[in-house]
Amino acid sequence: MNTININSNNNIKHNFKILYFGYNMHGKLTQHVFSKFVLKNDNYYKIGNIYQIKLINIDLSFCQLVAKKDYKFYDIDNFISYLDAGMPLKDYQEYLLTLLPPSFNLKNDLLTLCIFQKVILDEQNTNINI
Amino acid sequence: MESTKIYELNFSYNWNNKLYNKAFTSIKLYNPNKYIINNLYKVNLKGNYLFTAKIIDLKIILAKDINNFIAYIDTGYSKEEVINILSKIYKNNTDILNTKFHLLLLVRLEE
Repeated sequence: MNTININSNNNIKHNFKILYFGYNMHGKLTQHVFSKFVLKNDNYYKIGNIYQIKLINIDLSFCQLVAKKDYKFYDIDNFISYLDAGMPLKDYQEYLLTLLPPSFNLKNDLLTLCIFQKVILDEQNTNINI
Repeated sequence: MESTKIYELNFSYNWNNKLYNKAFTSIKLYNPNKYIINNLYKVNLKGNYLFTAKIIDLKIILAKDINNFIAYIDTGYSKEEVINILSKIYKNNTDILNTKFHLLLLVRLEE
Protein backbone atom coordinates (compact mmCIF):
# COMPACT_ATOMS: atom_id res chain seq x y z
CA MET A 1 0.00 0.00 0.00
CA ASN A 2 1.37 3.41 -0.96
CA THR A 3 0.93 7.02 0.01
CA ILE A 4 1.52 10.24 -1.88
CA ASN A 5 2.92 13.44 -0.32
CA ILE A 6 1.29 16.74 -1.25
CA ASN A 7 2.34 20.15 0.04
CA SER A 8 -0.47 22.66 0.40
CA ASN A 9 0.07 26.43 0.14
CA ASN A 10 0.45 26.72 3.90
CA ASN A 11 3.21 24.11 3.81
CA ILE A 12 1.26 21.42 5.56
CA LYS A 13 2.36 18.10 4.17
CA HIS A 14 -0.44 15.62 3.52
CA ASN A 15 0.02 11.93 3.10
CA PHE A 16 -2.71 10.53 0.94
CA LYS A 17 -3.23 6.88 0.42
CA ILE A 18 -3.44 5.65 -3.15
CA LEU A 19 -6.45 3.93 -4.68
CA TYR A 20 -5.33 2.09 -7.79
CA PHE A 21 -7.50 1.21 -10.76
CA GLY A 22 -6.21 -0.71 -13.74
CA TYR A 23 -9.35 -0.01 -15.73
CA ASN A 24 -12.38 2.29 -15.47
CA MET A 25 -14.83 -0.59 -15.34
CA HIS A 26 -18.19 0.26 -16.94
CA GLY A 27 -17.39 3.94 -16.54
CA LYS A 28 -17.86 3.98 -12.76
CA LEU A 29 -15.14 6.55 -12.12
CA THR A 30 -17.32 9.20 -13.78
CA GLN A 31 -19.71 8.85 -10.83
CA HIS A 32 -19.52 11.09 -7.76
CA VAL A 33 -19.69 7.95 -5.64
CA PHE A 34 -18.33 4.59 -6.74
CA SER A 35 -17.51 1.19 -5.32
CA LYS A 36 -14.37 -0.90 -5.20
CA PHE A 37 -13.69 -4.37 -3.82
CA VAL A 38 -10.44 -4.67 -1.91
CA LEU A 39 -8.76 -7.30 0.20
CA LYS A 40 -9.85 -6.67 3.78
CA ASN A 41 -7.36 -4.32 5.40
CA ASP A 42 -8.91 -2.21 8.14
CA ASN A 43 -5.73 -0.19 8.64
CA TYR A 44 -5.59 1.00 5.05
CA TYR A 45 -9.34 1.31 4.50
CA LYS A 46 -10.81 3.42 7.30
CA ILE A 47 -14.02 5.39 6.94
CA GLY A 48 -13.10 9.05 6.62
CA ASN A 49 -9.70 8.41 5.01
CA ILE A 50 -8.83 10.39 1.88
CA TYR A 51 -7.32 8.64 -1.16
CA GLN A 52 -5.72 9.79 -4.38
CA ILE A 53 -7.40 7.97 -7.27
CA LYS A 54 -4.86 6.59 -9.72
CA LEU A 55 -6.07 5.12 -13.01
CA ILE A 56 -3.12 3.11 -14.33
CA ASN A 57 -0.48 5.86 -13.86
CA ILE A 58 -2.75 8.87 -14.16
CA ASP A 59 -3.67 10.86 -11.06
CA LEU A 60 -7.38 11.57 -11.02
CA SER A 61 -9.31 13.29 -8.25
CA PHE A 62 -9.40 12.59 -4.53
CA CYS A 63 -12.02 10.55 -2.78
CA GLN A 64 -13.12 9.73 0.75
CA LEU A 65 -14.15 6.34 2.07
CA VAL A 66 -17.76 6.81 3.23
CA ALA A 67 -19.01 3.26 3.77
CA LYS A 68 -17.72 -0.30 3.69
CA LYS A 69 -18.95 -3.83 4.20
CA ASP A 70 -17.14 -7.16 4.36
CA TYR A 71 -18.10 -10.01 2.05
CA LYS A 72 -17.02 -13.56 1.56
CA PHE A 73 -16.29 -14.37 -2.08
CA TYR A 74 -19.43 -16.48 -2.56
CA ASP A 75 -21.70 -13.92 -0.88
CA ILE A 76 -21.22 -11.38 -3.67
CA ASP A 77 -24.44 -11.14 -5.67
CA ASN A 78 -25.52 -10.06 -9.12
CA PHE A 79 -26.41 -6.53 -8.01
CA ILE A 80 -22.94 -5.93 -6.64
CA SER A 81 -21.16 -7.45 -9.63
CA TYR A 82 -23.06 -5.32 -12.11
CA LEU A 83 -22.73 -2.12 -10.09
CA ASP A 84 -19.05 -2.61 -9.36
CA ALA A 85 -17.95 -3.90 -12.74
CA GLY A 86 -20.88 -3.89 -15.17
CA MET A 87 -20.79 -7.66 -15.59
CA PRO A 88 -22.81 -10.67 -14.41
CA LEU A 89 -21.81 -12.47 -11.26
CA LYS A 90 -20.20 -15.49 -12.96
CA ASP A 91 -17.94 -13.30 -15.10
CA TYR A 92 -17.16 -11.10 -12.11
CA GLN A 93 -16.13 -14.06 -9.98
CA GLU A 94 -13.84 -15.27 -12.76
CA TYR A 95 -12.36 -11.79 -13.02
CA LEU A 96 -11.78 -11.56 -9.27
CA LEU A 97 -10.06 -14.94 -9.31
CA THR A 98 -7.42 -13.51 -11.64
CA LEU A 99 -6.69 -10.74 -9.10
CA LEU A 100 -6.80 -12.54 -5.77
CA PRO A 101 -3.55 -13.85 -4.30
CA PRO A 102 -3.10 -17.65 -4.37
CA SER A 103 -3.24 -17.75 -0.59
CA PHE A 104 -6.75 -16.22 -0.53
CA ASN A 105 -9.24 -18.69 0.91
CA LEU A 106 -12.46 -18.33 -1.09
CA LYS A 107 -14.65 -19.78 1.65
CA ASN A 108 -13.29 -17.95 4.66
CA ASP A 109 -11.24 -14.88 3.77
CA LEU A 110 -12.92 -11.52 3.49
CA LEU A 111 -13.13 -8.88 0.82
CA THR A 112 -14.33 -5.38 1.62
CA LEU A 113 -16.76 -3.53 -0.59
CA CYS A 114 -15.75 0.12 -0.19
CA ILE A 115 -17.86 3.10 -1.19
CA PHE A 116 -15.83 6.17 -2.10
CA GLN A 117 -17.12 9.70 -2.59
CA LYS A 118 -15.11 12.16 -4.66
CA VAL A 119 -13.92 15.22 -2.77
CA ILE A 120 -12.22 18.49 -3.62
CA LEU A 121 -9.39 19.55 -1.35
CA ASP A 122 -9.03 23.18 -0.42
CA GLU A 123 -5.31 23.94 -0.62
CA GLN A 124 -5.60 27.07 1.55
CA ASN A 125 -7.10 25.65 4.67
CA THR A 126 -7.00 21.94 3.90
CA ASN A 127 -10.76 21.63 4.39
CA ILE A 128 -12.57 19.10 2.33
CA ASN A 129 -15.34 20.43 0.16
CA ILE A 130 -17.71 17.89 -1.25
CA MET B 1 -40.44 -15.50 -23.84
CA GLU B 2 -39.01 -11.98 -23.73
CA SER B 3 -41.41 -9.04 -23.78
CA THR B 4 -41.30 -6.88 -26.91
CA LYS B 5 -43.12 -3.89 -25.43
CA ILE B 6 -40.78 -1.02 -24.65
CA TYR B 7 -41.68 1.07 -21.62
CA GLU B 8 -40.35 4.49 -20.63
CA LEU B 9 -38.11 5.18 -17.67
CA ASN B 10 -37.91 8.86 -16.89
CA PHE B 11 -35.22 10.63 -14.89
CA SER B 12 -35.38 14.26 -13.84
CA TYR B 13 -31.73 14.24 -12.77
CA ASN B 14 -28.69 12.12 -13.55
CA TRP B 15 -28.11 11.14 -9.92
CA ASN B 16 -24.49 10.19 -9.23
CA ASN B 17 -23.81 10.44 -13.00
CA LYS B 18 -25.04 6.86 -13.10
CA LEU B 19 -26.59 7.15 -16.56
CA TYR B 20 -23.09 7.25 -18.06
CA ASN B 21 -22.44 3.73 -16.75
CA LYS B 22 -23.13 0.42 -18.40
CA ALA B 23 -25.06 -0.78 -15.35
CA PHE B 24 -27.04 1.35 -12.93
CA THR B 25 -29.87 1.19 -10.42
CA SER B 26 -33.10 3.05 -10.07
CA ILE B 27 -35.43 3.30 -7.09
CA LYS B 28 -38.99 3.54 -8.33
CA LEU B 29 -42.35 3.28 -6.62
CA TYR B 30 -43.42 -0.39 -6.53
CA ASN B 31 -45.22 -1.26 -9.74
CA PRO B 32 -45.19 -4.97 -10.63
CA ASN B 33 -47.00 -4.34 -13.91
CA LYS B 34 -44.32 -1.99 -15.19
CA TYR B 35 -41.11 -3.31 -13.68
CA ILE B 36 -40.38 -6.86 -14.84
CA ILE B 37 -37.06 -8.61 -15.41
CA ASN B 38 -36.07 -8.62 -19.11
CA ASN B 39 -38.42 -5.75 -19.96
CA LEU B 40 -36.92 -3.05 -22.15
CA TYR B 41 -37.13 0.67 -21.31
CA LYS B 42 -36.44 3.86 -23.19
CA VAL B 43 -34.38 5.87 -20.72
CA ASN B 44 -35.21 9.58 -20.83
CA LEU B 45 -33.42 12.36 -18.97
CA LYS B 46 -35.51 15.52 -18.60
CA GLY B 47 -37.68 14.29 -21.48
CA ASN B 48 -34.75 13.59 -23.81
CA TYR B 49 -34.16 10.05 -24.98
CA LEU B 50 -30.72 8.71 -23.98
CA PHE B 51 -30.64 4.97 -24.64
CA THR B 52 -32.52 1.73 -24.22
CA ALA B 53 -31.94 -0.38 -21.13
CA LYS B 54 -33.06 -3.73 -19.83
CA ILE B 55 -33.98 -4.75 -16.29
CA ILE B 56 -31.74 -7.66 -15.43
CA ASP B 57 -32.61 -7.93 -11.76
CA LEU B 58 -34.89 -6.26 -9.25
CA LYS B 59 -35.64 -6.24 -5.56
CA ILE B 60 -38.68 -5.12 -3.64
CA ILE B 61 -37.66 -2.97 -0.69
CA LEU B 62 -39.20 -0.70 1.90
CA ALA B 63 -37.64 2.73 2.10
CA LYS B 64 -36.46 1.98 5.64
CA ASP B 65 -34.46 -0.99 4.29
CA ILE B 66 -32.38 1.09 1.89
CA ASN B 67 -28.76 0.68 2.94
CA ASN B 68 -25.76 2.91 2.29
CA PHE B 69 -24.52 0.82 -0.64
CA ILE B 70 -27.85 1.17 -2.48
CA ALA B 71 -28.21 4.81 -1.50
CA TYR B 72 -24.71 6.01 -2.41
CA ILE B 73 -24.43 4.13 -5.70
CA ASP B 74 -27.95 5.08 -6.79
CA THR B 75 -27.87 8.77 -5.88
CA GLY B 76 -24.46 9.73 -4.51
CA TYR B 77 -26.03 10.40 -1.12
CA SER B 78 -26.29 8.51 2.18
CA LYS B 79 -29.34 6.45 3.14
CA GLU B 80 -30.63 9.21 5.44
CA GLU B 81 -30.39 11.75 2.63
CA VAL B 82 -32.06 9.37 0.17
CA ILE B 83 -35.03 8.86 2.50
CA ASN B 84 -35.24 12.61 2.82
CA ILE B 85 -35.22 12.96 -0.98
CA LEU B 86 -37.94 10.27 -1.33
CA SER B 87 -40.03 12.10 1.30
CA LYS B 88 -39.86 15.26 -0.81
CA ILE B 89 -40.62 13.46 -4.09
CA TYR B 90 -43.59 11.59 -2.57
CA LYS B 91 -44.68 14.36 -0.23
CA ASN B 92 -48.30 13.15 -0.09
CA ASN B 93 -47.12 9.85 1.33
CA THR B 94 -47.37 10.04 5.12
CA ASP B 95 -45.44 6.84 5.83
CA ILE B 96 -42.48 6.93 3.47
CA LEU B 97 -40.38 4.55 5.59
CA ASN B 98 -42.88 1.74 5.09
CA THR B 99 -43.56 2.48 1.44
CA LYS B 100 -42.69 -0.28 -1.02
CA PHE B 101 -40.22 0.49 -3.79
CA HIS B 102 -38.68 -1.40 -6.66
CA LEU B 103 -34.89 -1.35 -6.73
CA LEU B 104 -34.15 -1.92 -10.40
CA LEU B 105 -30.84 -3.12 -11.82
CA LEU B 106 -30.60 -2.02 -15.43
CA VAL B 107 -28.04 -2.51 -18.16
CA ARG B 108 -27.63 -0.17 -21.07
CA LEU B 109 -28.07 -1.95 -24.40
CA GLU B 110 -25.66 -1.38 -27.26
CA GLU B 111 -27.30 0.61 -30.07
